[in-house]
Amino acid sequence: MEQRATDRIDAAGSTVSITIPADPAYVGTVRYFAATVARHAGLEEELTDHLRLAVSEACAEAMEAGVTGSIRVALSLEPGGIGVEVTSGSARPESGAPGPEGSELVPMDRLQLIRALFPDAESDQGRGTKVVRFTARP
Amino acid sequence: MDLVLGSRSENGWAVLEVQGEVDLYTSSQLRDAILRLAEEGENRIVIDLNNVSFMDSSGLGVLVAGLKRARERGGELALVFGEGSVQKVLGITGLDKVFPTHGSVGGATGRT
Repeated sequence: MEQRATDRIDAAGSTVSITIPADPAYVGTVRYFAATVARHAGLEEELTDHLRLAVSEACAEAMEAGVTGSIRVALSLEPGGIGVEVTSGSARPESGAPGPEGSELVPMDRLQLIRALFPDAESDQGRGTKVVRFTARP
Repeated sequence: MDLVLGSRSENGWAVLEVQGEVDLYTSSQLRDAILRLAEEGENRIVIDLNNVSFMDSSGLGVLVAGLKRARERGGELALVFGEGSVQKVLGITGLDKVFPTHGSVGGATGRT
């Protein structure tokens, strides 16, 4: 069955999430979603651009690692900012899609780039899932 | 969404115009376009990114590989972009100091 991106507002009303298939074709959908939520939350345009880039990198990192299934991006509206959680399943042990050509030449990896944008960014792995968290605030 | 790519010659340079968002999904299209120019014997390439509204590190990897390949052949690869996403990501990664960068295609090709 074809998988589709879905979005919803969680019951608490303060968290909005989108779940996409682990397919690069859907990364643009996540960026659009994140930018829309950020603008509704009143984030400045520069911070919105950083958020767009960071969620895109987090999803791409999971896909390059060979994650199968879906990736969930949850944005929690907090006073003065947005908390972000990008949750993906485990990568297939031996696989992992090859990175973009020349990626070894880029002076920082995707998580480093997210940390450069949002210094509190962290990555946790365990129990079959990986979570990248950070907070977008001025 | 696919990238819109077009190339032309200008003042001894091959100018590759890119329009759209360069990410994990589309970066292979940019890579293929740069490779095609190299296979056609172009070793002085300007990539016009003025109409790129988003670029992530997938796109940066392709640009760095293109620069490396061009220099190995004694050529050059220059970037053209204004303020925005491309400038931001190049600045964050420090790659704005690695590439020859220009504000206009004419500036890159020496036409102006």
